[in-house]
This record gives sequence, C-alpha cells and structure tokens, in this order.
Amino acid sequence: MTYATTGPRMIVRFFGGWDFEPGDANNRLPARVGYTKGVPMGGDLNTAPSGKAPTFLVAALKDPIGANLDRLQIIKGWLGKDGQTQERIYDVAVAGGRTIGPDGRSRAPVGNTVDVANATWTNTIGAGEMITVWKDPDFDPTLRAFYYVRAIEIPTPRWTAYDAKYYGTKMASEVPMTTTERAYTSPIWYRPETEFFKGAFAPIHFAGGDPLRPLWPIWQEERSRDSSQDRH
Amino acid sequence: MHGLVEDYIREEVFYREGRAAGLDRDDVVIRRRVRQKMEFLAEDMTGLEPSEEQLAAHLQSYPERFASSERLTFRHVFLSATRRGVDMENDAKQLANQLADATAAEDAAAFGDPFLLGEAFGSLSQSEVARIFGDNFAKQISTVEQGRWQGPIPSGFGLHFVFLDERSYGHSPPLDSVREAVKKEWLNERRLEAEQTLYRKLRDRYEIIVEAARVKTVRSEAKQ
Repeated sequence: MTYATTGPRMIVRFFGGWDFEPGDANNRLPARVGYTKGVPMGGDLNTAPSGKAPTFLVAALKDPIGANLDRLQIIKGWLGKDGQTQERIYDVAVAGGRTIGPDGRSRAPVGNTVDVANATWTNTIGAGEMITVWKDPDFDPTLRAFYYVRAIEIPTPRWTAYDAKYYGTKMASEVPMTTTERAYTSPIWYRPETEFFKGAFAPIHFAGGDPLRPLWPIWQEERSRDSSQDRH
Repeated sequence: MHGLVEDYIREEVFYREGRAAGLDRDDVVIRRRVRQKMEFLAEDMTGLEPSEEQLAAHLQSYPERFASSERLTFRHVFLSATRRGVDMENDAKQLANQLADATAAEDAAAFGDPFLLGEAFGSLSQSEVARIFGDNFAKQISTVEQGRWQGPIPSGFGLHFVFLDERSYGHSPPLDSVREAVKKEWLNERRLEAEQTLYRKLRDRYEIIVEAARVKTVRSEAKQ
C-alpha cells in the first residue's frame, strides 16, 4: 500500500471490492472491513460479478499537526472502446455540509482561512477525518479501468507566503501565496474478466497458445503476498 | 599514453603557476580540503583497540546513547472534532464521568467515535506516538498513570481519553548486546579528542587577536 503526498503526513486508506456498503463507513475498524471485502490500493479487481459495479471504501485522516481536509476524490481512468484513454474526477466526500451534484462534483469551494500577511491559517473549516463508500456509477465491465484517490487539504499558506513573512519582502503579484496540499494513492486496477478467460480458464482451446496463461498463478501469489504485507 | 603524460604536464604547469600567483590562498574549497586533510591526519585511529574496561566505562558514562526508548501500550476513546463540533467539550465531560466508573478498559472505546487507525496501540515509542497524534499529545500521554482512564488529551483530531496498559521504560542494555555500537562511539570520541589536541597544540603557536565586530561602523559610514 503506497501513497504520496505533497508534504503533509495525512493517512489515506483505499480499498476496492464488489460488496462494500455505505454502512462500512461506520465500522470501527475500517481497515479490517477493507481487507475482508476487497483489495487495498495497488491491488487488482478482475472478476466482476454479473451486474455489479466496483465499490470502494475510502478514508483519510489529516496530518495531526497539519490542515483539515477539504474533500476526497476518486479519479477514474479507463480505456474507451475507441482505444483512447479517458479520465474523470468524482468528489466522493466533502466537508462542511456541501453537496455532491449528479455529475459527481461539488462545485462549492471549502473556503479559505489563510492570512497571507502572517502566513497562518485556521482549522475552522474542513474536516479532520473523512470516510465514505463509493460505487462507480458509470461502470462498463468490458473496459479496463483504474481508480485512485486524492485527499485534498483546505488552503494553507504556500512557501512563498512563509518566505515573504520571514524576510519581510513583497512577492510579485503573479506569485501564488496559497496552496492546497494533497495525498494521492496508488490505483486499484480493473481488468475485464474476458481477458483472463482466454488464458487461464480455457486451457483446452488455448493451451500453449496464449502468453497470458503462465502469468496468472504468479499474479495471484503476488497479490496475496502484497496484501498480507500491507497489514503491517 | 602520450595523452596521459601531456595531461599530467599540463596540470603541473597550471598548478605551479597558479600557486605562484596565489590562487590557492583565497579559495574556500582548497582551504577546506587542506583543513580536512589536517583533521584526517590527526584522526588516524589505525590499530587502536578499546579494552573491555574502557568499553564498559564508556557505556556507563553515556547510558542514554545506547538505551532503548520508553514504549507505551494504550487504548483510547476518541471524540471527533469533525463529528461532534461544538458539542465536543460537553460530550467529553459526560464521557469523563462514564469512564470514571469503568476500571477495565474493555469496550470503553464504543463510547467514542471510530478512529481510522484503531482503538488500541501496542508498544509505541514517543516519536511514533507523535507521528500519529502530534507532539503535544505525545508529551501529555507520557505523563499519564497506568491502569485507569484519563483525559481528555487534545490532538489535531479531537479529544482522547486514554488507558495506559503498559509502559516499558527504556532500559540500559548489557554491554554484550551493544558492543559494536559502544566501540564505534568510543573510537569516535578518541578521534575527536585527538583532533582537538592537535588543534590546541598548533593554535598555541599563534597569537590570536579577534577584533570587535565592525558591522555597526560600516553601517553608519554607509549612511553618511
């Protein structure tokens, strides 16, 4: 399980599976539910039960000495039928009672408490922790896809604001003085079942002829090994 | 081969002429390098081997350098600032009363809010606690008593009541388990000593006069 941040040390968890329910977001041990019902970030989803769309358990905790969180987003990328890559952003959790529209976005900004002159901000907006379950509303089981999470902080002073205050200088007007720090996770991958059937489950027709086949058991092993390491 | 010889001659010519012109004198890189070489010479510790007594004495003089740090095993009941908002303080008062009656830690966590990292933490050092909950929390929890609910301790996430199950104090390890580390430290100390001795000896050959800082004078001159 790997994710990066632009600096702050927020904690992010991200699991994908077929059976996450909204109630899982209230579980007292989200990570346990995550591993029981799904795979962690970096994992593969590859056996879509008929008629089901992938569901995700997403949670983040702010940096204990950092800024609150504005929102959690899931970014979905997929390979269209025309072979072109596509991407779409979904807001999946937003702080402060804002709503998420039918297009999956929350257009209202969280606000801004940054005092640029003093290079300070307050955690009076945003949320200290966020957790939610999200289901892909536009899932097409025949298309390859990936999903990753962004956890975005409320605006904070950018390094330019700290420098301007410390050195008592004035920055040029085009210099940004605030920023929104964030964390971004490894993706969870979806691959249509049919691509595996060719090699793994139809050995009579494809025996020896499909380069995918010998890889299948190795992937399985790696996946179970990875997820057992993730627990620590 | 011819090329190598040519290059050597070229370097030698430039080096001699450069030194003759005094180019090495005000060059900070060369000065540092020469200083470093002097320090290396002073620090040559080849063949120096500490005795058993010396190692034991060193370990005794600096126990904190080799001791393992204090570790805490605790549970917490979490009140989320995000979930509770302005009610958090009142909820904390109520919870304090509830917990005062609870001597055992079991199931008390259910009084509070879910915490992403869980309700029980095993054998964390103070820096690990600080990384999860922040410095202030780590400082405060290191002073709590074992075996009963205490708090609330504030963190960046909200308020926490804590139940300290176990505090394993940092202990001084026996020499055998840290021998290599003690030896390294001992050698390092001899190295610094030797360097300092040489420096003192050489420094005594000079009469050193440090002039008072002239910054102010320069500024007032600049103003006129």
